[in-house]
Amino acid sequence: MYIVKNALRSITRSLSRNILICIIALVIATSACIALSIKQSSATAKDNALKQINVTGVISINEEKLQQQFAPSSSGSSSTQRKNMRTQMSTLESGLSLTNLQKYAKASSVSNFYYQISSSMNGSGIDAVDTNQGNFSTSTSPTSTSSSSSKKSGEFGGENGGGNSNAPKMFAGMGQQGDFTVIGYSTSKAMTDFVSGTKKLSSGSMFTFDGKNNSCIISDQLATYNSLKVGSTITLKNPNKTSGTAETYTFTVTGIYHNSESSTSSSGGMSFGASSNTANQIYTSYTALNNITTTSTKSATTSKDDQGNTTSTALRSQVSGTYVFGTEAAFNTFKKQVKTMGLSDSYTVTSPDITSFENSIKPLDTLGGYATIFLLIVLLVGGVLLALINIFSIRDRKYEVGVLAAIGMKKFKVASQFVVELFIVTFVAIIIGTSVGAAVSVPVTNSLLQNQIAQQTSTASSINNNFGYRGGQGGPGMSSISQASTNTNFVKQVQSATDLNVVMELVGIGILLTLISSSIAIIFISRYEPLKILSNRD
Amino acid sequence: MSILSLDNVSYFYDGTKKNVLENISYDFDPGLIYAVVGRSGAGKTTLLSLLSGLTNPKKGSILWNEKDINKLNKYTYRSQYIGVIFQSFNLLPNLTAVENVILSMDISGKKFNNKKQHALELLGKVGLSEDEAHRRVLKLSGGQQQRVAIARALSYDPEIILADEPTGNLDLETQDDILDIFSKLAKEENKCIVLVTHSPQVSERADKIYELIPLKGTRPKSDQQSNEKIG
Ligand SMILES: Nc1ncnc2c1ncn2[C@@H]1O[C@H](COP(=O)(O)OP(=O)(O)OP(=O)(O)O)[C@@H](O)[C@H]1O
Ligand SMILES: [Mg+2]
Repeated sequence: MYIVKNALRSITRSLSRNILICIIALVIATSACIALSIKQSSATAKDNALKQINVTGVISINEEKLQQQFAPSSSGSSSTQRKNMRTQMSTLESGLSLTNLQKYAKASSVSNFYYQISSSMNGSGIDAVDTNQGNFSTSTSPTSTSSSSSKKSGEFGGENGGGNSNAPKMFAGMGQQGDFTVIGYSTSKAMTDFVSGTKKLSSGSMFTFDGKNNSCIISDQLATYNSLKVGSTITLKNPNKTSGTAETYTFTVTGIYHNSESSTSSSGGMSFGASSNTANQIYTSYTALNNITTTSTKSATTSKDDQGNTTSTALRSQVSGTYVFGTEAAFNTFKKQVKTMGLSDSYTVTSPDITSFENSIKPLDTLGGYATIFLLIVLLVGGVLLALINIFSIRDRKYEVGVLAAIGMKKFKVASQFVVELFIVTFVAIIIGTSVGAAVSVPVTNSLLQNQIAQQTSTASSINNNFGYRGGQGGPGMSSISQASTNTNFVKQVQSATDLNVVMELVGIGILLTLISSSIAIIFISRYEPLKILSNRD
Repeated sequence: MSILSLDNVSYFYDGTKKNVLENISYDFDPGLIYAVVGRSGAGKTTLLSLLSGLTNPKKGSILWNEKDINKLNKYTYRSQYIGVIFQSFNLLPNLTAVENVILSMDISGKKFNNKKQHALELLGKVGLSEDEAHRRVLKLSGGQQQRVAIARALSYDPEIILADEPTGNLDLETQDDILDIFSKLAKEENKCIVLVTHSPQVSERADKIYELIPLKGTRPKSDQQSNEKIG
């Protein structure tokens, strides 16, 4: 085909013009390649991460809404307001009973449901590991442990708890915070740390889920500290029973676990004593702990303090359920389904996995957003530049068009030749641009990502500082905002950014650029009249 | 039978008041050389533009083998049936002489055994050396460019040659050589040759001369503008 031959010759005979076009296309192609690669790596990271995570969801009280409801601006004194808020809290908490949670588990989107109960207790004859004091707790007698810890941690939800913007999630109703956190699981699946492998049984065996004899497992740190072995028994007591005979419960240690993560999970901020140390977590079955709390509630007595608040000596407990979903989509369906099943707006459905996942890719996502804007600007500016160059070059080539027409070359063919020329130049640029872009996109993406992470980490830590008191809330099932942002494992690196998708998109951009360039040539050629061009040589 | 004829053609340029050509009826037959003469501005180039289909008559029609050329594909007509040597050559300055010639051969779509060889032969015939043939047209003299234009018009073997002062830039000797080529084409290959010229030496070699007389005033009604003279 002589058109291609002519096109190639024409490119080499007017090199300067074509080099200019090529450079512009090259800049567009390289920038576009990097921008698309960033977008792509963000999408790929998202896809991969979503495939790996097991989407779980929890139903919790909508704290934001509750706080709005009891905002300082609303009428009433602040103390009655707090009181009302507490009442409201406990009402809402009772709405999250296991029966209710199990009801929502019947939603078609849920593929599995498990639950756990947790309670705060003090030791009797065993001491809690307390890393906050630099070494192990020095408190000796069981009674003094109880009182000193209650001083340290304060009264949960109490008047001096500073809980104006920070409604406690668990143990509301003013229970005392104990040194140990006992967690009862419904199934081994619920023990996510053991599933993921961050915690491992180092000796002995798992407790039994039937709950017949109060079997439990304890951390190796706690075992060492108290010289406990598999088969030892430990005694825990109700921290709310401060007078009369102590209310004690005995557990048999069937296994000792090792936690490969640092024992204090919540970093920064204040720490509320021993209970925040994960080494003091004792795991048992749901049935066992549920039996204990039921017994405790039955035998409890209530009293009124001088401010008229009712306090019970019953062991406080918190039930939480975890819904397992096959996909993120199922989780989103679940959110709608529970609404139709009657879950009020006072509760929210959240997925810690998705939240932490979303946090982890936030820098990449932000970068992807910038990349899109950047891409659009580059395309726009580049497109306009190319169009302008072509308008000028076509004027230069007016005579050529006239001659070609005068010697009988069809307009269609003249236009084709011009399009082929632009196509070749643009695609040479695209090929070079893609190679350059592919080579630099990984380092560029990663360094931009580092900046982005640095930025978001500093934002997160300043939020964390503002809400410093939140740091100590690290109990089981508690993930406060600050924790989520400081402990987030950001996606810090991308391996490869330019893939076939990107190349295809670049080819698309190349075609688009060629079309922009060509359309001017085509419009001009379709309107020319050879005699006019040849007789007005200017 | 005429291969090409003007049938009562009138023409004026858009935006001007004056007719350039008025009621012209010329016939051109195969195997003959025609000379179109007339003073500068008489409309000779305009006539060739009409004959080559670059513009349309305002009145009357141009017939190719008795068919109105408006009903033909103009591009096929220009690229295959006629060979035009423009007064201003209309070569592509960025191409070499031989490339210009080959381009027209390509555009004609006709089959050739060896385009390059054929082109070089033709350029040799009109007196260009091999070196000149491979030089960019921009770097050739006026006369050399004119001869490239001639070679280009002949290259795809059209039935009709329309030449606008094809020897205007040439010395008498070279002019004779070119005229010999035209004569040979007319006599041996039965081509129709139309030469626009001021030169008496050229019109002498023509079989027939059409003389265009410049029109005066605004579109006068006078009917006979041209003389016919058998050469
Ligand atoms: N594009 C144009 N627009 C308007 N008028 C034109 C145009 N081209 C030519 N003319 C006019 O038409 C008339 C005929 O011009 P043409 O070029 O046909 O003359 P010519 O006989 O070829 O002259 P020459 O011997 O100088 O080449 C002239 O008066 C010229 O001014
Ligand atoms: Mg002229």
